[in-house]
Amino acid sequence: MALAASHTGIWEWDLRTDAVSLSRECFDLLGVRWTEGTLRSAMDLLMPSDALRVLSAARAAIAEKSVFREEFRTIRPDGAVLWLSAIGQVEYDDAGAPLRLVGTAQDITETKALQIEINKREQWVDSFFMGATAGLALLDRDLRYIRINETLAEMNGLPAGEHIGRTVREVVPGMADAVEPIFRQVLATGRPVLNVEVSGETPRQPGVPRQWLESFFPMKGEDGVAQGVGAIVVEITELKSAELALDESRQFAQATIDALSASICVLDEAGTILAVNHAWRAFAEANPPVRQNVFEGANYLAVTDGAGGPDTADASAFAAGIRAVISGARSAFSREYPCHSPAEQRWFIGRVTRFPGPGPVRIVVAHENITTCKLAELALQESEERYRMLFENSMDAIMLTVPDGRILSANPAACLMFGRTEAELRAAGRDGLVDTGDSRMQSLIEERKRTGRASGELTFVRKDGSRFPGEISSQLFTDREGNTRTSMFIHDITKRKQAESEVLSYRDALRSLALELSLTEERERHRIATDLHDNIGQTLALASIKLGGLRECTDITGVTDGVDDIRGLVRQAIEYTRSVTFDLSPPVLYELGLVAGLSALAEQFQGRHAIEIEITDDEQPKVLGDDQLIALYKAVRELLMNIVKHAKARKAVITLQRNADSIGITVEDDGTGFEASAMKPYGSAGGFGLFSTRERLRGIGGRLEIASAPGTGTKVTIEAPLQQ
Amino acid sequence: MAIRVLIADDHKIMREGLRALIEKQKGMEVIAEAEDGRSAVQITGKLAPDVVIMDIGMPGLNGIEATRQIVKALPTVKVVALSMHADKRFALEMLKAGGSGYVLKNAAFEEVVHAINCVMGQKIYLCPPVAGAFKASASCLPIAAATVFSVLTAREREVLQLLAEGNNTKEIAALLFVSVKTIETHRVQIMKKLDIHSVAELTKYALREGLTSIDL
Repeated sequence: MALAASHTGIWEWDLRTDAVSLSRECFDLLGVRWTEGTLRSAMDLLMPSDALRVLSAARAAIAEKSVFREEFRTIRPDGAVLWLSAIGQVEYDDAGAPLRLVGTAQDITETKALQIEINKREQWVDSFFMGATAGLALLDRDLRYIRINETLAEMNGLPAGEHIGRTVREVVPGMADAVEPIFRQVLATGRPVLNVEVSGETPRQPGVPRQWLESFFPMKGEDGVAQGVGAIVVEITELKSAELALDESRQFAQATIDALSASICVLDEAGTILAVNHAWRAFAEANPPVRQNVFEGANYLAVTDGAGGPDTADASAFAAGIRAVISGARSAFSREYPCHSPAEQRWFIGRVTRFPGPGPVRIVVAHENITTCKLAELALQESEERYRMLFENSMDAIMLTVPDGRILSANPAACLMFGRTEAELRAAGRDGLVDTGDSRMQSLIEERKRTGRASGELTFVRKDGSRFPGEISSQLFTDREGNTRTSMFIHDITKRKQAESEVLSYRDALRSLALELSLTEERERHRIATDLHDNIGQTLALASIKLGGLRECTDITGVTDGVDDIRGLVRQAIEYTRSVTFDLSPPVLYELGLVAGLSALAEQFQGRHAIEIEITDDEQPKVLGDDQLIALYKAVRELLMNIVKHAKARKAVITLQRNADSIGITVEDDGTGFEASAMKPYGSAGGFGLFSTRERLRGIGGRLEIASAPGTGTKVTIEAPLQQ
Repeated sequence: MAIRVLIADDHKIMREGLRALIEKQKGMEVIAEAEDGRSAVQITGKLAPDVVIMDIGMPGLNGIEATRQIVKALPTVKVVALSMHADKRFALEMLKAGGSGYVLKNAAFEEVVHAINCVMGQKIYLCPPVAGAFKASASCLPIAAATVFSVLTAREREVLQLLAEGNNTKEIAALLFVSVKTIETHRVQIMKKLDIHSVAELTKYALREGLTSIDL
C-alpha cells in the first residue's frame, strides 16, 4: 500500500537473460500494460533522449558494484511526460558475478516540476543579482558577506568570490565605520534604513573619497528576527560632483546677476517673483517709497498694478508690458521712467525679456538707473536747444553748407541779410550770394581747403542786386553721419567799413595835424634859437668885444682884473647860448645844410658816447626844404639815439646819397641787432620814437626801412623826395 | 694907405661896436656898413674895399653866399668871417666860398685886427679854436693850406696825412678799419682833387701845408 500510495513500482533486470520485469505499480506509472520483456523493449518505454544515459548509468553501477540512481522521463500513451526516479542495486552470485539489477521506480514528476521552477527562480534572482546596476549584497548577523553581485564587488575593488565569508571590515575597511552602525541598527530594529548617503573609500580607489546612496533591509527568519541584512548600493560620486557643479554654476549665475548694477528679478508666468539680485534687494531696502514686498514669493504684477501717485501711468504701462511679454505677444518690452527721490533726480529704464527656449515661462525684469545718460541727454538737448537759439537769433548770417557751395540751411538773419527766403538762399547757393568779381573768394576757398578754415572779407550780393561788404568765416567739419560740411558766418560790415573809413580819414587828419604841430614846434624852436643867437648871442659877443676894448684903455689893476672876470662870465654865457641854440635848432643845419648838420650831430654824439660815427656823402647837391631838412635830421638823430641806447655798437656809418629825385640816407651800425620782423609798428619800449619818426617821414613823403637780425647789426634806410 | 674895411652885419649894435673898435686902429678905416648879404655884395661891387668883415647869419643872402659872390666878382677882396658859430663846418664852408679868415665874435678885438692883417698878407686866418679843430699848426696859414680843408673831405685829409707819414694803402686800411679798395679810391680822389700824381709829391704837399710834422 505504501508503495502504491507513493506510486512506487518495482523493477528487475536479469543480467543473465537480459529480461526485464515490472511490478503492477509500474504499469500504473507508465500507463502501459507491460510486465516482462527484453531490455531493449524495456528501454523503449523511456524517453529516447534519456534511454542511453539510464543504460550507461546502470552498466556503470553494475561494473562498480554501486547503487544505481537515475532520473528520467517516459511518455505515456496519453502524451503526458512523467519524471521517474529509479534506484537499484545489483545482486551477485556467490562467485561475485552479477545476477540481476533490482530497484524501485517512483513518479517524481511533481517534485521535478517544483525543482525546475525553483531553479528557474533561482536563476532569475541570480541574473537580477548579477545583472543589477546597483550594488547588492547580503550579509549575515556577523556582517559577513553571504552573497554579493559583481557591480558591488567591482565598486569594492575585489572579485565577488573573495567577499564571501569575510566581514565588511575585512573587505572594505574604509567603509566599515560608516556602514557598520547602520547594519547593526537594521539587525537590532528589524527596520530598513533607506537612502543614506555614505561616503568613504574602497580598495578600488584607495585615497579617493566617494559617495554612495545605500539602502539597508533586514532579512528576517521565520521567527521575524533579522537574520541578516541586504544592502543596495548606488554610487553617486559623479552625481554629487555634478550636483556640486550645478550648485557652483547656480552660485556663479547668482553672483553674476548680483554683480550687475541693474536691479533684476525673475518672474514666472503669474508674475510671481522667483529670484531677485543684490541690486534689486538693495534698491528696495534703500528706497522707503518701495514699501510693498518685492522679494521672492511676492507678485510683481500686483505691486505694479497697485502703484499709485504720480507714477501710476508708468507703473500700469509697465505692468501691461510685463503681461505682453508673459503672454508672448511681445518678446521684450522696455520703458524709461522718472523715479526722483527727495535727494536727487533719477531716471530708470525697465526692461522685460523672456527666457529663451522651451521650459516654463520665465520673465526677467531689469531696472537700470540711467540718470547719468539721461542727464547727459538732457544736457545735449539743452545745448542743442541753445545752439538752435543762437542759430535762430544770431544777428549774423549763419549757413550750413557743403564744400562745393550748396547751401543746406540758413538762419533768419541770413534771410534778412540777403533779402531772400531760406529756400531762395538754398537755390542761389554760395555763388549766388558772393560778388563773382571778388577775387578774394577763390583764395578763401583754397585756404579753407588747405587748413580747414578761412576767414576774410568779401563783397556779397542781395536779392535786389545791391552789394555789401561782409566778413565771412567758414570752417570744415564732419557731421554725425560722416558727411563733410561747412559752416558760414557772415557779418555785415557796411557800418564798420564806414566807421573804418571815418577812422582812416580822422587818422589822416590827425597825422597831418601832428606833423603840422611838429613842424610848428620846429619852426618855433628855430625862431627861438635864432633869437637867442642873433640877439642875446650877438649882444653878449659885442659886450665881450667892448669889454676887451675897455680893458685896453686902462692899466688900473683892479679894473683890468674885474673886466677879465666879466669877460669870462660873458664868454660862458655865449658858450651856453651856443649850446642851447644847437640843442633847440642847430644853426649849422639851417645855415649849412643836412650834411654839415649831421656831421655836427655825429661830432656831438661821439663827444658824449663811446661810439665812432662816420659820414659818407656823395657830394651831390641835395636841395631840401626846411621841413624835409628837419625831418631827416631828426630821423637820423632818433636812429643814433637808438644805437647808443640799445645797439651796443662800436661804430655807425651814415651814408648820404642823391638818387634821381630823392635823397637816400642809410644808418648802419655794428651792434647787437634784433629781430626786425618781430618789431611792432609802435610798441612800448622805445618803439614810439620810431613810430613818430616814420610818421614824420611819411609827412614829407618819405619812408623808413629796417633790416636787422640778432648779431648782424642794423641797417636803416631812409628815402625822401628832394625839393622840387 | 689905410686898409679899407666894409662891415656886413645885420645887427646894428654889432656894426657900431666894430666900427668904433676898428677906427681906433691906425691904418684901418671903415668905409661902409651893410646890413645884409645882398647889400654887402652891392656895396663891395661899388666900393671895392680891401677887407669885408662878414657876419654869417644874415637874412636874405647869408654871409657864405655873399662871400661866394664877392670873391667871384672881385677875387682881390679879402673876406673875413666874423661869426657867432664856433662850428668848424662854418669855417670850412667859408673857406670853400672863398673867404680868407674866420673869427669868432666873442674873440678878443685884437684878433679881428690880427686876422685883417693876416689876410692882407695873403694868408689865411683861422681863429685858434677852429684851427685846432682842423688840426692846423697855426692860426695864420699859407693860402694853399686852405685848399686841403676846402677841397678834401675829412676822411681824405686823414688818408693824405697817413700817406704822408709813410703808411702804405694796406696799413691805412687796417688803421681805419676799411677795405684796401676804399683807401685806394680815396687816394685816387685826393690826387685828382689836388692835381698831384705821385705819393712823393703828396707827401711833400702834406708837409708843406702843415698836415703833418717834419720829423719823419
